[in-house]
Amino acid sequence: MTSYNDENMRGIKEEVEVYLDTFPVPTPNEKRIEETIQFVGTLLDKEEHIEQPSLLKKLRLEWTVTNRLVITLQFLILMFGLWMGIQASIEMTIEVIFLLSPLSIVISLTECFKTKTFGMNELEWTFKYGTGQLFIVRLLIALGLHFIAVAPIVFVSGFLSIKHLSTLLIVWLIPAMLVAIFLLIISLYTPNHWNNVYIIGPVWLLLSIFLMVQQDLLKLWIEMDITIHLCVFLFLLTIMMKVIWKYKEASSIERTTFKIHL
Amino acid sequence: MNELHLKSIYKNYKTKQVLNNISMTFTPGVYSFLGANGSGKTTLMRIILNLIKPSKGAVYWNGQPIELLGESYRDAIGYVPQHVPFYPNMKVYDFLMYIGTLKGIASHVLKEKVEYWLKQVNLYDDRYQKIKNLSGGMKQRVGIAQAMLNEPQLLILDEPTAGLDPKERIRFRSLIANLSVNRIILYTTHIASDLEGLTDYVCILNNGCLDQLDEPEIVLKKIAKQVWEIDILPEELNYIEEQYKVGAIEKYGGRIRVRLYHHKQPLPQAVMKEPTLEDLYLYYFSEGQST
Repeated sequence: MTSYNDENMRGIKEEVEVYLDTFPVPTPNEKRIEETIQFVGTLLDKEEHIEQPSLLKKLRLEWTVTNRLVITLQFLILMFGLWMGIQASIEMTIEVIFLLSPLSIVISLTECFKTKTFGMNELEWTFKYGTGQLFIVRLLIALGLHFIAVAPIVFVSGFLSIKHLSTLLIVWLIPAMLVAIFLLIISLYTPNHWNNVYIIGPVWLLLSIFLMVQQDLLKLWIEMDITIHLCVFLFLLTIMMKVIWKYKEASSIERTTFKIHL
Repeated sequence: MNELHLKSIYKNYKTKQVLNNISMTFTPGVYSFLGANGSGKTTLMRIILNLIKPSKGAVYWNGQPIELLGESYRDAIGYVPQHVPFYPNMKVYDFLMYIGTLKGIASHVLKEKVEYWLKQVNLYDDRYQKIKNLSGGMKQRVGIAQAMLNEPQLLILDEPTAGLDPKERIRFRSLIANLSVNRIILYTTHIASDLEGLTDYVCILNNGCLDQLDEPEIVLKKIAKQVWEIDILPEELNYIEEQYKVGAIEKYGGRIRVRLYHHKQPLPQAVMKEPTLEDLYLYYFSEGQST
């Protein structure tokens, strides 16, 4: 004997079957399927596809967007310096390095201001790796380019005349660091860094030519005690680190708009 | 479910108060911010993006203050600014690959994602074009693609259709409608017609204050029976503009059809109309006689 409930349930089942038989099933839409797959993908654990790229990978990536003009100019500096290093006297090579290394660093550092040049700060700040990290990577690229342009001249000349190696290092590092600090500090407070490059480059050119003409002044500076050079270098290095830290700290559009111009 | 909460946001620039006590909570859906230029829309978006700090108040993402979240918050957001900036010499494909890496997307899925979004924004065939050679609308679509690469849970669009032609605006609207599933989308605009059928909530910002926040139907109810349409002669237009708050003006034949806003029937021949979001915008922000 069947109960009232069983009979009722059978009736419902029959009704459902009839309903299912008549219910129009829409044809699957290919676009909708693709969208659903994509959407379900977004619900998966994000850890699977979020990674912290290594510094090397970031550098490689940044290299692909490095200004080709900057690379070409550095290459020309390298070729000219090497030619001088091989052809000219060591005194002449020292002067050439003294003249060229600050110019090389000024050109390289334009890479660090790319965010500002193309108005990317607002957008780049919203990326996982914000403007601070990008600045450091671009600075490393800039320093790398400068190193590649100047170091071979210094080391080739130093190898040919080993007793002048320390002098070559002094005329390379101290002026380059001094000019780089000037450029970075001025660019912190001025909106158009390209103007700064156009000003600082020629000013250095004139100043260095003046010093080269006034041989005594340049000689006097070079022949100072190595400890003094070392102290100056360390002092400049400290300032440089502070300036770089200030740039890295530039972590809001408010600061980049009104104070810091990356 | 993700939740974005704004708690008593104030923002002052020197003596000017740009935002005044904005508090709201967002859950997945499309929220449209309507406001005249200078009403504080962009400032509010920048505060939500943590690009600028509020003078007072805080923004919380899933209960956590956004300043403390750092990378993990930035990982959850996608942003399309009003004028999307680019490295102009880069090709579309290279640009998206570059941005994807900066967003921390693993290289083995990045290529796939870039190609997927290029197809979604209909730029796949132009992927090897330099960005500087693209039209305004195409650039805007690159902007959308870059914002979507990390599949953001919070998508912020700051006047994204400014400068687009009508066809591109319709296309853009469809794209946003497709993206709106399970995401918080904040959309600022002063082109109210872009929002018809797209937005779940309308937020009206007026001089830095939140005037309205509700579903479009409810917000529109507030101006129901105040929208009128009237056919007039061209020489009557000046009088109408002086007397009433006027919206859209259309020419047809030798006459002019004017949409105007008034609490009672302005003229005997005026016909009452159903309000649209465009009416809402013009009601709040157009110049003219107050109702």
